[in-house]
Parts: sequence; C-alpha cells; structure tokens
Amino acid sequence: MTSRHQPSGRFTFTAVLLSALLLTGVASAQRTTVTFWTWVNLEPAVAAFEAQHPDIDVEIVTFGPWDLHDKLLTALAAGTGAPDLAQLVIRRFDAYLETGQLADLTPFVTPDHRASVPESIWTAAMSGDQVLGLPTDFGPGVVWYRRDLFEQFDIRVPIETWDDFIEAGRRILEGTNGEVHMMPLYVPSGQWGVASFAQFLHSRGGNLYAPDGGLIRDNELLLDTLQWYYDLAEVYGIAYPVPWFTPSFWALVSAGRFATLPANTAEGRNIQRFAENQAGQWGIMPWPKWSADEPERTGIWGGNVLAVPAQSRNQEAAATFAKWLTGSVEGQVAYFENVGGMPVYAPARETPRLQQAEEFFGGDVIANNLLPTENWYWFSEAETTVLLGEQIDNLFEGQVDVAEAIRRFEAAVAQRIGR
Amino acid sequence: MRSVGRSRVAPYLFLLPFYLAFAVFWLVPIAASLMYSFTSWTGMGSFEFRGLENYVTLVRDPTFWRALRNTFSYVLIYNAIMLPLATVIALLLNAAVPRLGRAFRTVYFVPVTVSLVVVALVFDLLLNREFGPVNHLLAAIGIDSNPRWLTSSQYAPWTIIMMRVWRATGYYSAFVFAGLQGIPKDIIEAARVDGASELRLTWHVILPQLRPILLFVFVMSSIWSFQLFDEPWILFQGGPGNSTLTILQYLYQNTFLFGKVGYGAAMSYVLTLIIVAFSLLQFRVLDRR
Repeated sequence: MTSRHQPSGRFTFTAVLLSALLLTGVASAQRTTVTFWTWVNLEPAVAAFEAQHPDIDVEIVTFGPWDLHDKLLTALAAGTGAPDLAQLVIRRFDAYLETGQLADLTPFVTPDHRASVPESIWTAAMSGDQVLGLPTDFGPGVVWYRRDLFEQFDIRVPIETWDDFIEAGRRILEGTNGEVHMMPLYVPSGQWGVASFAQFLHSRGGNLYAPDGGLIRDNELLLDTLQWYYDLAEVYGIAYPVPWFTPSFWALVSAGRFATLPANTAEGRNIQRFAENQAGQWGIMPWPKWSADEPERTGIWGGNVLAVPAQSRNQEAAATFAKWLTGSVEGQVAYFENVGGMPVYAPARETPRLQQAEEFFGGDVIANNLLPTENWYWFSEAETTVLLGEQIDNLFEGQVDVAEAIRRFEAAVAQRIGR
Repeated sequence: MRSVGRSRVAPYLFLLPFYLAFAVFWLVPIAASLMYSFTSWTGMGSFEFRGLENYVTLVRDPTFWRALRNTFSYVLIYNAIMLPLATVIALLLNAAVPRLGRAFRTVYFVPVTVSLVVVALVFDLLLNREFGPVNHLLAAIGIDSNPRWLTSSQYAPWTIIMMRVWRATGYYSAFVFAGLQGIPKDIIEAARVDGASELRLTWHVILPQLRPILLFVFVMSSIWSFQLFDEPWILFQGGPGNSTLTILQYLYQNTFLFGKVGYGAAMSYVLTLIIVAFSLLQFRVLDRR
C-alpha cells in the first residue's frame, strides 16, 4: 500500500512545485524590475507606486550619498553595472550633463510639471533643451529660530533685513553674557560650509559662475557677501565658528547655544532629531532681505535629481517611477514624508500634508516660509567648493583678507579648472 | 612518458586560476591606470593622450606639495610618538603577570577594532572647546589657551596624530610583544647574572634583539601613514585651509570629485614610488646586519 502511494505523492508535490515556479516566472516576466540607487529610505513611497503600477518592481539599493556618486561614476566609466535609476545631488549634476551617459527624460516632462518647478532648478538638470534629471526636492533657505529667546529679548518676527538680524544677535549675545550666539558659522568650511555661504550669496542674486560657465571675475557681490560673512563672527561676534553637522555642533544646538539656524528646509528634521528637548521652542521664518529696498528672495542649499543611465535596459519603467516621484502630488508628498526634502513640485506644497502645522516648531508651516530664488549656476561644483573653502578657511585663520581670498580663489579656478 | 608530461603540467594548471584572477584584478588595472596617467581621461567618454603633462602639472601644483608635506609630517611625527609608546606598552605587558597581560592585551587591541567613524565622532566631542574634557583637563593643569583642536590649522594636524596614535599603538604593541616572546630567555638570564639592571637589560639586550620586529613595525606603520585618509577626511575634509590634506585625500578628490582621473592616476604612481623609496631607505639605514 505504502509503496503504491509514495510515487503518487511525490509526483503531485513535484507537479505543484513546478507549476508554482512556472507561474512565478510568468508573473516575473510580466513585471519590469527597476534597480534604484539612492541614499534615503523610500520603501513606503515605492510601495505606494507599485500598488498603482503592478507591472513595475522598484528594487532599492542604498549607499552613502558620496559612495553612490563614486560607484555610479565607476559604472558609467566601465560601461556596465549602472542602475536603472540613480539619485544624485544637484550640485554635482553638471559633471554628468555633458557625458552622453544619461537618458533624455524630456518626453516624460509634461508642461504642467515644467511650469510647476522653479526654472532655476530645471537649469541645473538640463543640457541645452534636454532634461537629463528630474528634480525631487530642493533646499530653499529659511531661518529656524528660538521663540523663547526672541520673546525674552523682544525681537520681532519675522526679521525683515540682515541688518536687523545682526542687531538682534548683538542683543542676545550681550543679554546672555556671550553664552548664546545668533547663529553658527561653519569653519573649517568643507563642502557644507561653502554651501552655507553660497546660500547667502545666492539670496542676494549673486553667483560664482555666469550661465556660460565662465567664472565671474571682479565679483563685487561675492566680495561684499564674504566680507559680511566674515564680519558676522570677527566684527559683530554674533556667529560662532564650529564644523557643520558634527556631534559637537548638534550638542551646542541642543544646549541652546544658538538663537537661529539660517539653513535649508530639510534641517528642520535634524533639529527635531538632535534637539528633541526643545520641542515647541523653535519657529520658522523666511530669509531676511538684504535691505528694505531689495526683493524678498532666498538662496538654495541644494537638492536632488533622479537620472536614468543610458546603459539601462528599463529606461521607460525607470522614467515612469521617476516621473511619479517628482512630478505628481502623491509622489512628492510621499517623498516629503519619507525623506523630509521640500517638494520641488509646487502643487505638492499646497496639499494639506505640506500645510500641516509643525508642532515642534510651534505650529509654523515650513512651506509657507519659502521665498523665490534666482538662477544659480553650478559648474565644476566639487572643485570650486574645495577652492573657495580653502580661501574661506585662510580668511578665518587670519592669513588673508577678503580681497586677497577672492583673488586667490579666482587664480586657482583659472589654473585648476580653466574657467 | 605521457603521464610524466601530465604530472609536470598539473601544478601549473592548479596555479592557473590564481594567476588568471591576479592578472584580471591586479595586473590589468595597474597597467590601465598607468596608461590613464598619460591621458586627460575624466572617467567617462574618450580620452586624449597627453604624454607627461599630468606629471609636469603635478610638479607645479602647490596643493600637491602641501599634501606631500602634510603626509611626511604625519609619517614622521606619528611614528616618532607611536613606536616608542608601542614598545613601552609591549615591555610592560611582557613584565606583568601572564593573566593580567592577556587581559591588557585585549584592552590595548580594542581601538583598532572600533569603527573609524565612531572614533572620529568621539574625538570630535572630546576635543570640543566648549565642553570637551580635553581642554578642561589642560586648564586644570594650568594650560589655559583652550586650543581650537577642530577649527585651527595649527592644531588640526595634531588632532589627526592623536587619533592615529590612540588607534594604532595597541595594534603595533601586539607585534612588538610577539617579538619579545621570540627573544631567547638564556640571553636575558645571562645578562641578569652578569648584574645588568632592568634598564640596562632593556636598552642593551632586549631592544637590539627586537630590532628586526621594530623595523618591520616601522615600515608597516609608515606605509599605513602614507595612505592616511579616513581620519582627516571624516573630521576635516582636508581643511582648515588644506592643513590636514594628505596625498591620498588629494588623489581621491581629483579622481572621484573633480573628474581628473588621469591626473589622479599620475598622483597614485608618484605616491607608490615615494612609498617604495621610503621603505627602501628605512631598510638600508636601519637594518644593519
């Protein structure tokens, strides 16, 4: 009896197993897998997308951001190994624009999408008329401020001009016997110290480069802004030099040693994370003007783009996901919820989620404190940042004055970058 | 005859996979990077042969020389502190009770096993001017200058050296300790019988016997120092004002950040030649047989 049933049982099991494998294979063959390199956790957003697009699987591979850029460079150079979709920082994107290694995403950009993202952001993601990257988010500057300190020293919010900001900083510094500074100032500069300085320059309509990629020489705005930046610490004493995003920097923040953080919109999440003991004590206000006569503007810290390497065999599927994440309300809100990056697609910023009052920030709404931005031209960003950072460090070390720092910067750009 | 032929070929067949892998993953990339060092390659697209232009540019590049000076400073100062310290620790461990020695050996080896990012972040907190314990301790013993360990070009290099010494001393003391075990006991006993004090014993008997291992440690430690990257990169990214920039950092910047792959390749060969020359010099000067 037993010997008669065993072959039958084994046959049935094998048949069921083979059928399951076959069906899985058929199902897989009908779904396209998009390999997506990123450094942020987008699993919930991907799940939402896949629910709407059952024919596309998005497989996330996470790296540290600079590891990702290095590995992508290696894959593009080797001609193999690149993902279907990669997230890149917009400040480095110019290095990829002229390589011919990225797919043209222009057909995936609708007129509404194009019109709903600041032109200054599109500029950084395009080569001529070709869209080579879809912007996911941007980092316009706002001023995160300590409500309790502003109330204590009777400082009106929002602060209208940077002169008013300096005056407020002096009152706080004096009133706290030098314990509380108005803001940090990032020394050694490194990449992010330069980004912080550039945000100030950008907010007054300045640039390092012209649209054609030539360095702006005898740059009066650069000289004036760098002098102002230097004076914040060395003349007015309201800025405290500290390296950016180190444990000691955040320890100073959580110890209440800064009255404001002029920074990009994404910094709010970090304040909540590292200064959770200060819930309700922080608020948000727009970037001050450079004078009462000047327009309201802010500077861009950066942002990110999604690009499809030309090597990809799933370009359409990859672009479909990228378009959803960057050019739809649902995708942009999902990105904000997962990552905290300010949606670059304007309709997303008007949704209830983005208009939600932030309890940690006393009920303020981040999206309601954004100001317009001028174009910023990123060229040879990595090397430019290093060269400018070196001179900013020399300036704060007392080795050069502002004019000499800029002269050396211009000479280094000419010699090393050839712009 | 046929079986004899096969038996002669067989060893080479067994070695072949290794040599194939070696050729593909070592020789070919090394040869390719040498070729790139004579080109203007950016890492993508085509490249132009430029002859010795990259090497000439390197000679004229003030940042390269700054990075080279910084690197040599690290190599010399770090080894001058670490080597004696590692030797002293090994001698103390050797003199201690065996069980106690084993426990201490574990403790002193821990720094090299800790993640470098964690080490850098902890040192950032320790050396903070406002609340870091180091400056408070210095003030307690009368040094009130409150050094800017993290923001000054004068002190930042010393921060790197402190981190490196803390991290590596235990690791290399393990090598020296192993060398101490290899010293014949009868030589030491003979010296004691002759009336040598512990200090004379150490200086005139033990250290000369340790010479080969100390030379090995010095060479290995120097090679590691020439490749210094992680500590200055994590804390300073080469700043302030390039005061902590090393050759390997500059090579990384040019190759991966600036897109100057050809220039970076040239720098890598110059660095290799420097390391080889320095190592040969060490053997020549210090290894008197």
